[in-house]
Amino acid sequence: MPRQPALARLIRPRWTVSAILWICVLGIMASFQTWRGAYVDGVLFYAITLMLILDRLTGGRIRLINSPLDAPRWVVAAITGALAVVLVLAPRHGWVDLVTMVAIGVTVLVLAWSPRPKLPYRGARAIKRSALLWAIWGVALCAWEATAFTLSVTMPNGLTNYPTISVLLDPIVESLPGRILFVGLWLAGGLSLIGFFRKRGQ
Amino acid sequence: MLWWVTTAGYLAILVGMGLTELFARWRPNRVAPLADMLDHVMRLRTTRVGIIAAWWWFGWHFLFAPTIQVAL
Repeated sequence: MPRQPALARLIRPRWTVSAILWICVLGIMASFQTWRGAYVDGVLFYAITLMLILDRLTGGRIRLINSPLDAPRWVVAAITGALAVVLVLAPRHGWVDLVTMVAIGVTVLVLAWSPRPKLPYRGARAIKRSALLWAIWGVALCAWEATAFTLSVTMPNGLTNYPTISVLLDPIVESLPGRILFVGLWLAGGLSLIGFFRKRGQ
Repeated sequence: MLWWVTTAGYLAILVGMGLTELFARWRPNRVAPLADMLDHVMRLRTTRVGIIAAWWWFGWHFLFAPTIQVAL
């Protein structure tokens, strides 16, 4: 059996409360997407949920790549810039968007799956308070959105009276300035999540 | 009227998020800023995959997948 890298041994996947809650969240997301008729989205979320369950059952033995992906910052910035141009200029809902989104999805899944080193952080209580507050906002947003969606498809004039986030943002993303803004913010958010803006050495 | 109520709900949540972050930057020892909190919680694979999957789906939903409004 190949030796696991030091980082992989650092944090082994366990059935913690946090892990169980996240698996439940992803399972609920998969079920909700399937229920609303977005079957592809549902299958994707079920697949991720299943991968995480299997990862725990096998003690973290699922490895997507043998060595962590790493590239100079300028390469990551150049690739992101090229992706931004493609996503802005390609027709929405077309095959170019499909290929680009699948490529981004596979890359970030590989990056997310790789172990990440522990970082120094402020007090545990401040982190817990922050996590709790953001979890409350996240749940509130999802609950409001789910309620609006349910009312929009069950009530008379529902689509007009109970707009979902998609209905509100769709006209904005349809316009060129709106799409530039959306793609820019979305990619910047992704770069932030993979640690692109973190200072070297952290 | 109902359109405004629904939209105001989203805006209220967004304002709440913004105020939370402002407070966190003002008093980081009481509430950690979002970036610090994410850095900490994303050391775990499940959390990392969950958050990054949510981010990716947001782009997928708006850039490729058509908006679905099925009458139930």
